[in-house]
Amino acid sequence: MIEAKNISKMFDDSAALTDVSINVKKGSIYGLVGSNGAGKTTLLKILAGVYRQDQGEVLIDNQKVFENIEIKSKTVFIPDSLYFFSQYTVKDMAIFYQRIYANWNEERYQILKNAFQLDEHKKIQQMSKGMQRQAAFWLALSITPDFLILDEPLDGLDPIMRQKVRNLIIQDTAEREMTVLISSHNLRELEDLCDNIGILHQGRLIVEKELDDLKSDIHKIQAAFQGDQPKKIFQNKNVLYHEKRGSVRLFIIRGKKEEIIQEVSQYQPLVLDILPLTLEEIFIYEMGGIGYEIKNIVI
Amino acid sequence: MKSKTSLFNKGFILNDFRKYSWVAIVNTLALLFIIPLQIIMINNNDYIYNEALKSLFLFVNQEMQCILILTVPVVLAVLLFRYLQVKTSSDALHSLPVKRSTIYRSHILTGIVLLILPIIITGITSIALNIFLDLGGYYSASDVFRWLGITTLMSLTIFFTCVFVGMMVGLSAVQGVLTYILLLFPAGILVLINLNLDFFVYGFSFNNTNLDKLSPITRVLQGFNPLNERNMSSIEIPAYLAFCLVLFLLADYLYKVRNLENATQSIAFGKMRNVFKYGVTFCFMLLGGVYFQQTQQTTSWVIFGYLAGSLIGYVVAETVLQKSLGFFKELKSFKGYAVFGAIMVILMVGIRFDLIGYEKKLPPLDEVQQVYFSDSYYIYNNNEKYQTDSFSDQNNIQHIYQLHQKLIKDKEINYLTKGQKQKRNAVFIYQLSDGTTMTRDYEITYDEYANYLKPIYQSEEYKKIHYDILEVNPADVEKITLRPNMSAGKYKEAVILDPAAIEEVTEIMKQDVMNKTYEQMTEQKEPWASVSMLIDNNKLNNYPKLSETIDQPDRDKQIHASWDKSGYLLENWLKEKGYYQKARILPEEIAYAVVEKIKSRDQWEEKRRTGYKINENAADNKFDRLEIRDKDQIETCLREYRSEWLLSDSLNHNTESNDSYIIGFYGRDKENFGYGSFAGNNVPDFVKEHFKD
Repeated sequence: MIEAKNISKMFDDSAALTDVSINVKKGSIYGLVGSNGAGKTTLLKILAGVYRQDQGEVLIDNQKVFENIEIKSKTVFIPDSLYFFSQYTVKDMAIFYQRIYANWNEERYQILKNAFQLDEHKKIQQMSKGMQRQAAFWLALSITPDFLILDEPLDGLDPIMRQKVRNLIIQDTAEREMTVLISSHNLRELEDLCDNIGILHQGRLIVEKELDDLKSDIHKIQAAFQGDQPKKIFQNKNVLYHEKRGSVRLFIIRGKKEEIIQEVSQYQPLVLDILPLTLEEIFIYEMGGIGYEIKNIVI
Repeated sequence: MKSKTSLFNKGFILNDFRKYSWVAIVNTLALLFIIPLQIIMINNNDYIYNEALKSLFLFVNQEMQCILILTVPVVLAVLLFRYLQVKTSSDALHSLPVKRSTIYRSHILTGIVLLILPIIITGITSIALNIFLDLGGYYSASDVFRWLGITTLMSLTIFFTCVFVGMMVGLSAVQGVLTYILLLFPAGILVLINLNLDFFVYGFSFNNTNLDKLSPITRVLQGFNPLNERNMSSIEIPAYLAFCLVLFLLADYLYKVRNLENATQSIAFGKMRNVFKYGVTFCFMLLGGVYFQQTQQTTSWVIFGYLAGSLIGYVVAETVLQKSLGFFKELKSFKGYAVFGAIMVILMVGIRFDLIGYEKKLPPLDEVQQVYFSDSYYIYNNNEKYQTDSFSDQNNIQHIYQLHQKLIKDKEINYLTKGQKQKRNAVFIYQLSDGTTMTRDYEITYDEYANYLKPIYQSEEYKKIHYDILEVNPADVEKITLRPNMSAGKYKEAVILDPAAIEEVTEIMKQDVMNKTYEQMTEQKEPWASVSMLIDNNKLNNYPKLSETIDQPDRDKQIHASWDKSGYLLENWLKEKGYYQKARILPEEIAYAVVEKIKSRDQWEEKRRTGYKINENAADNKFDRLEIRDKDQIETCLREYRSEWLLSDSLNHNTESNDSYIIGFYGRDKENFGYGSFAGNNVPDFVKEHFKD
């Protein structure tokens, strides 16, 4: 379990994080979303024990992370800008990690070699950005960490490799109950990967939800009625958004799906469609004012 | 599973060795070239200068060695901790399960090994060469071990300083530059503060003789030759070791509390930014003041220097901190400067008006046990070895005290009037009964205080301090040689070997010294001859000044004295015993002398520059030169002339210098024997007469 409790962090005079709490359950994948400068990287670095928070508490497995060797040896952090020693090959880095991490799994390393198809004797800094990222994953997964913290991990990967990495993450999560915290500025990228989503905006966490909850809770309904729209419709429901397109009406409503259908059915609609909402739409509607503000970031 | 409290991390150490061993390899090669190869090269010469090999291990003229000691540790420290100053590496490496202290210690261990290994290899090679080439006569294994120790200690000191600086800053370039600044800082700031106080405070004393020992950089550059009293003292070694240890612990602590996100900031700790900013401002201010103090010597220029210097310093510091010039746009960026300025003004006004009474302070006379009084600190600094040259006679203490009182009263005459008169220092160091000392240093024109100086100069104590001959026991002297000060072509000297004569002449010379009046002591006439008294080898220990250099192969075994123009008793004795002709230049040896009047300082400078001090062509300026062939007149000139270099002083400071003359003495073939000068009251009458309009 990865926990951040009321984290605040200042950089000189500007606040990077204000009172942020997140909670990543064991064996789950947590997506942290936010625009550039929202504080994702800072939060992840604090969780990885690199930075020190000004206030609050960071716990992994109920232990403080900072300078905690036991916890850190079970945790792997892949930063957004990767670092490898100059002149080092993947093999050299592997040897280095082997000396640092007790739970390095050589067998895994050999197996993953096939998955990534990188030349382990090529100098990493001569590789392309995407290949370097693959190398980072290869090395990280060979450590068989219990906790994996990834900062913008899918950047620079082609779609096929992206899928492969996702699968590897999901596989480890399923098999070894690995806990994953993953950040992205792109909500869609995380949609089919995460169990939980948190949105950071200007250093504050504005939403933290289970994806299933979100999806089952908000509905987009398209309906057409004979004549005018019945006046009393959805009076008792929480309508987040309402729009009229010709004779068709569009509702975004929070509530149980059955109850909503039941209510609409009372007014005998000519057309009744329940449409799927993208994660993006859910956030926009869910959060009203702030939602629009962050609309441009969740592309 | 690795132990949580592991001291070192194998991964980091092996990694460091892999990445940075090249530094040690290059250093080893360089050292092998500079020392063992040099030994082989010198050994191949037919003649080996006695100290040539030894000096390799004492840093005597070893520029290359100095460069290595001063750069290699800095390069290594910057490289080893480079990862801290770069965000990507800092983030990546600190997410690994290794404690900061463990990372730190691992790097330090690697650094120490990489620093010491080349030194040890060079040392072993040197000892091997010593054995195989049989060079034991030129240097010994202990010389090599001392070199090994010194080199290691100095390298580590510089290494740890650089590591320490690295923890405070966030840029490798700043780390390198700041390391050297910090290494120079103790000596530098003392010089700056003292020079500034020296200017503002009348009588402020600044003894700068051991200053270079305060900075490892100057310490290395000065070398470690025991003959120059540069050997590593028993205080220095533990001091440097303690310094290294303190820096090691401090850097460890700073690493732990450092916020890693401050990589790429100039200074990594917020509070230190202010220390840096105002420190730089302050130092630049002092530097500006010193610059204008040395060049212009007026208060207004110095104040201008403070203003300009501090402003430049402030801007430089801000630029380094902000890494841009953007702060110029905002007026509020200069708020700090205004506060700084206000504090400095208060401080300076306080110093200027002597709020603590420094300038007027004198110790109570009855508490003074001893007083050192001289025109330099030099003798004082060496005093511990040759007893003290201070005055302890009550009369002398009182006379010196009165002179000091007078100087305090004469502030207006002596303070900031440097360019106008010929001045020398007057240093007073009082040893008080409570064990403390009080030191003052003035710049005065000695002639103006003749009345005060006279009783001091004529006292026995003063003469004992200034004339070594008074302490000579004739029984210890093997030989006395008198060498004429001016030689007429052929070399001659008077040698006295007979013990009875030696005893007699020694007593005579002592008498002459004791008879000297203040005027004779300060007349600055060139002596007839220099006198060397060779001391018996077994008696050298009776003469502390000589036994000091006892280990030196070409040591001085002679007590030096001179046969002054006022040494009449000696003159008579020499005549009586027949040494006279050989002990001085005689008018008979001189064919003629030429006197010229020096009209202005420019004319003298011109002569000095060209080297033609006397016009060779007699026809040129008939009225400006006087040729003397009369032997009596030549004798008078010989008795009166002073060094020609004194002309600079008399022309410099004496505005009514209507009476400066240069004289040249010549042989039959017009060969020059030497020059001299006349000025003031030692101009012979016939010279005055000739040049009268």
